[in-house]
Amino acid sequence: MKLRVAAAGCIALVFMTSFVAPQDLSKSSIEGAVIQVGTGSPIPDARVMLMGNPALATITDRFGKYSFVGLGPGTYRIAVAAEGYARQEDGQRVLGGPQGQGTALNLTSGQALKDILIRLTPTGTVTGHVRNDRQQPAAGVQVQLVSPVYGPTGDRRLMSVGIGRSNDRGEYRIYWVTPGRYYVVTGSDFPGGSYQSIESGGLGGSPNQFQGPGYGVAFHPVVSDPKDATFVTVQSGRETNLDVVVSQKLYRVRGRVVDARSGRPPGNARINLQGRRFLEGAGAVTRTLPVYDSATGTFEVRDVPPGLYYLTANLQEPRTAGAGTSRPMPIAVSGSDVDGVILTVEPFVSISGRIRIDGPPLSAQELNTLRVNLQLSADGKRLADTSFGGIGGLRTPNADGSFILRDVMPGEYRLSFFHSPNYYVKQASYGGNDVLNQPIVVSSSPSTLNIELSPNVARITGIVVNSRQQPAPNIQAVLIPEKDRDRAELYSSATTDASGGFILTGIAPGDYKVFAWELLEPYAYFDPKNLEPVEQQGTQGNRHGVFGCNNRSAHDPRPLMFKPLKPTTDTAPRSYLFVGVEDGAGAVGAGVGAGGEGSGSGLGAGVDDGRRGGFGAGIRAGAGANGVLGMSE
Amino acid sequence: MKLAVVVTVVMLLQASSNPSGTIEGIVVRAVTGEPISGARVQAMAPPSQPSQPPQMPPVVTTDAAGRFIVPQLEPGVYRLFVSADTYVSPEYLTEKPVNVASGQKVSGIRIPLTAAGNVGGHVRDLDGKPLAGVPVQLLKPVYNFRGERTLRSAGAGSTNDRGEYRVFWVTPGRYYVLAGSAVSIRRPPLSGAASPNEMPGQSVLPTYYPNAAELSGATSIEIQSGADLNGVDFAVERQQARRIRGRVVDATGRWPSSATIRLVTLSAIGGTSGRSSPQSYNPIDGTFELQDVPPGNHEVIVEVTSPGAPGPPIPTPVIPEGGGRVGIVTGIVGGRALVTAGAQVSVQVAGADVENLVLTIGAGVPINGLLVIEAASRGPATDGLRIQLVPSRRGQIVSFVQAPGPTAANENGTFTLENVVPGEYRVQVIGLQPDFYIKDARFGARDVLNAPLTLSATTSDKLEVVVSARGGRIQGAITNQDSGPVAGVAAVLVPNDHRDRPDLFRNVTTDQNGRFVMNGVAPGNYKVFAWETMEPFAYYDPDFIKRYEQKGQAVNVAESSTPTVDARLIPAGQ
Repeated sequence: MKLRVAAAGCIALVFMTSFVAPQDLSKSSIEGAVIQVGTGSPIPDARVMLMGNPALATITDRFGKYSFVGLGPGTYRIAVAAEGYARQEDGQRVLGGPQGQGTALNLTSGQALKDILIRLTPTGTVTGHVRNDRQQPAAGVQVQLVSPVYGPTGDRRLMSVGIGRSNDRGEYRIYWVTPGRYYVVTGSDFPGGSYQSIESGGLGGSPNQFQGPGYGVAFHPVVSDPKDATFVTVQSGRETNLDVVVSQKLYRVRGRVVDARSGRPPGNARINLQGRRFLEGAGAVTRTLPVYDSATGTFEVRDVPPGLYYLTANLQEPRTAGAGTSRPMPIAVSGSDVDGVILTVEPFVSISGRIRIDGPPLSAQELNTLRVNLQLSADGKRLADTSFGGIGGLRTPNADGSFILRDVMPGEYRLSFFHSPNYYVKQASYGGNDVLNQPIVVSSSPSTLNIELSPNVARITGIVVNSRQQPAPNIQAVLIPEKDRDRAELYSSATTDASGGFILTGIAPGDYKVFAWELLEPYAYFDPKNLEPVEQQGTQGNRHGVFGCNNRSAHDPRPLMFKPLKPTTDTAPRSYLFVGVEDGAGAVGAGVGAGGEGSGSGLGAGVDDGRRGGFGAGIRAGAGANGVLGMSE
Repeated sequence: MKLAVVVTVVMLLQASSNPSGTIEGIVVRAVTGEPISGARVQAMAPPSQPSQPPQMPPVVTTDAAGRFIVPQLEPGVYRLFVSADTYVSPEYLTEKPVNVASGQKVSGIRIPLTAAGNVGGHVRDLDGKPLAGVPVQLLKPVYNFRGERTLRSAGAGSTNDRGEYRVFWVTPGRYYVLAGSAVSIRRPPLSGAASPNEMPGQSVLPTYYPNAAELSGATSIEIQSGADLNGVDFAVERQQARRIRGRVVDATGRWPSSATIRLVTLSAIGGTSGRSSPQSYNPIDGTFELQDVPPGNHEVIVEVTSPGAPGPPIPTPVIPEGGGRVGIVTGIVGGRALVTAGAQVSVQVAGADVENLVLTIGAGVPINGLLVIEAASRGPATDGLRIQLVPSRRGQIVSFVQAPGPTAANENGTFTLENVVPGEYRVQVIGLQPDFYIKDARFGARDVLNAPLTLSATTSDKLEVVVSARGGRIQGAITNQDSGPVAGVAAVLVPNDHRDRPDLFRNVTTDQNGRFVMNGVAPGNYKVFAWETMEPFAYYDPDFIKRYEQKGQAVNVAESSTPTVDARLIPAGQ
């Protein structure tokens, strides 16, 4: 990641120099046309965006033609948007895929690139009626099409590809949808926020809409769990009719709180109910009002729409003596009230630990950037659908490598690290148990966490070639460990350069395979079902290399040869949008709307309150968030 | 705050030993009297203290005959919130408060609701092609929390790919209709945007019905109760977003080594939205470029910051007491660096790119001043006082301009506001104790309490601010026609003079006994009003006040006086 950023900086610098240079005759140009896929008919009024330095945009003429002239040498990408067509980058392999994945055009001084044709696919439409469970039109209901995508650690999440909102007749219309297979999500996680003014980036509605608990998040056909949902297929140039039903029923969630120390109800507890996060970038909002009776330890949360939630109880203010919390309890509200939930609160514990280096001590800078995080897990799998965040975010360890993780609630976690790419985590143990490949289980009497870093990282260089043995540029080479495939930090990927070459650095010693797919949606390689078909192929022929990587042989300068694999997964178009991983504030940022950094007209008050009311929002939301992101690249 | 919440919970639980009461009634359609089923009713108890946030009560729904029963009510005063699909939800509690004694069954409450109306139409471009994703808003002239006349959205929709829009459940009345919004052109992907395949850089000229570019050329439409108004169509000009290019120079023709260029867009209906990008400034030749600027009115602001200097906290807009319900402009996220120089230019972007815009920066100048504190000795009570200059435009505070941070005075009262960029400001004092008021503010000889402070680069004037601890304290009660106390109603203090100073107004909610207290009132003549129903901030509207001038209870406040004034509730509909 850092490397890439640095490279971009260099390009910018080069450009600056050329920008102030006196006008020369060696200006370059790019020209071409935008046409419809299949028919080849020209698309006028398309916006063609040249991404590079400078970033330029132009509109195609009535013959679909565009041109950029007077360009300096450098690397450019082209993206095109047109009304009624899926946004497309030149050379983009996945329709509606992430930006920056298209072909990079390297423009030399004086070069004139001609006939760059960009083919656009017509979008589809999904329209229909939203009705409530009494078959009446339901007004102001948000209807969203979402696409399952992989997160940067292989977790599944849902990305929105189109939003509509029903009017008073229940009619909705989601237009300009990139063809594909999507889930349909109704309702939103924001109680009382059904009316969003245009000025605050919303889609409008009426202030006369009921501002109380409304329709919770549900999947078509009226199910809470995406596993039970059905897909809708959006076809290019077609209108799909889909009527959806939303439930107006509200339920209660009741239970009691027990203090693990005394076995009695705590004198003071705050109950939070948060929707489980399925949607990319969506924040979980604490809903309804919690009422806790300290005499009996019972609580009741009223007016809960059907859905999947996490319920927690926490004690007093964080960071004071006696503060603590219960582990988030998954709750499914569907068709009936939920009773008898028992939340066991325990005080936070502090875990002391030490980092040892198998080699010379870390520099002050490397020590400063080192982070150790705990991320909630269940059965060894990180919980990606909570916004309760990770714990830790260890600030600079002491010079001797000792550190303390504070305010840890007892429970199961996976460790994650953020460290310099010059090191790998050789081992981690907690109370004598391996916690690198196994989850760490924290009890009320904490043990010591010992972490060993080693500078003996490996580097892998290689070349990806196509079936004609020619170098394959702009292909992702992915390093996948042979075992411990639940450790996302062992994965590594790099995109091949113009001569098909790639470099993977900071590799922990071990056995790996390198894969190169011609077409694979981002991060899909974390999914075993995508690896299984190609895994077997690998041991035969030359399609990918299987090799041992340890700190001696990996420095072998001879490049390995790889061939891109043919697409093996479902080739339905997928899309991916990069939004912060664990940061519960995502939706808030999104809601601010209009103007990018520093903007904000009318931030939804409900959102703000929800965040503040959320469990430990301030203390840990950010803490555990960034580690994994940094690790995987 | 947290403590207060806990106290409520405990009180509720303790009170549960009392026999509970109920409120029964019927919700009907106004005029016809036909019952409304499925209406939602909530009984809200005014908070026991004005500072406490109200708790959301449970919802009961009316049956097929429009009847409702709100069960399990502790003794107390309740106001009923009623909401039903296709009807107008009263903005404030329209019904008279209901007093529920221990175990009492209150019945016979009749709540009429007015049917809302709907409006729909098409938005097309000048060639008749449908325009997708164009916001359409119904707007009503109102006053906002700062006392500014502005337009409030009374409902909004967005066109689909066929150019159709529909704004539903609109409160009957007269409205202007606006298609397009200067603010929302660059909606970020997927937050409210209908489709990620929308074309960036597209805009339409914000247009009032019927096809007027300015509000002055607009005609209002009437939305009638229970009716659909169709065919409110627009032909609007499709516009490309434009570019603003120019350069930054100082008086000597040099340019800064780093600068941030901000673009602040003035919304057609009041409020602002902005963005900034450090990349838009080229330090090599002092040029800047802002892309994708929607047509409309903008402010281009350049700020030169001193790198590494700690940023002052974000200035918060002054919100009069009780005025915190409407947030129009929020602050800026994150820390800010200290501005050492800056400039601001208003730009109207229409059919062409803006080129060669020259932003001449003036270096920040120091303002020396003196804080005089009357009737209070220096100590903990006065240590928190900070003098602050808040950027304003034509007297109204704006939020997207950097300003020097709040500054404390020295022991002897002197203070220096460093690096103040020439421009217009309002003087504020923050950290006022409850009985404190700002008695005077002068810049040189000019009054800068009742007028904005305009700073030039060559000024040597001194800023003198007088804060007095002798603020008046008004207490009283709001009573109804039967002289009974009215709980949970807004008691509003309106000054007789200087009605353009929102800080002289007070808006406090009466407690369970109908009583209120207003602190730190500057000496002068005032009136206390209490309306049973009132649009938010309507009291800033001179026409509104004029209608009720005779119904306000006059009160004269002298320094340190504690006048008592009881005011009569002005019933709804008067």
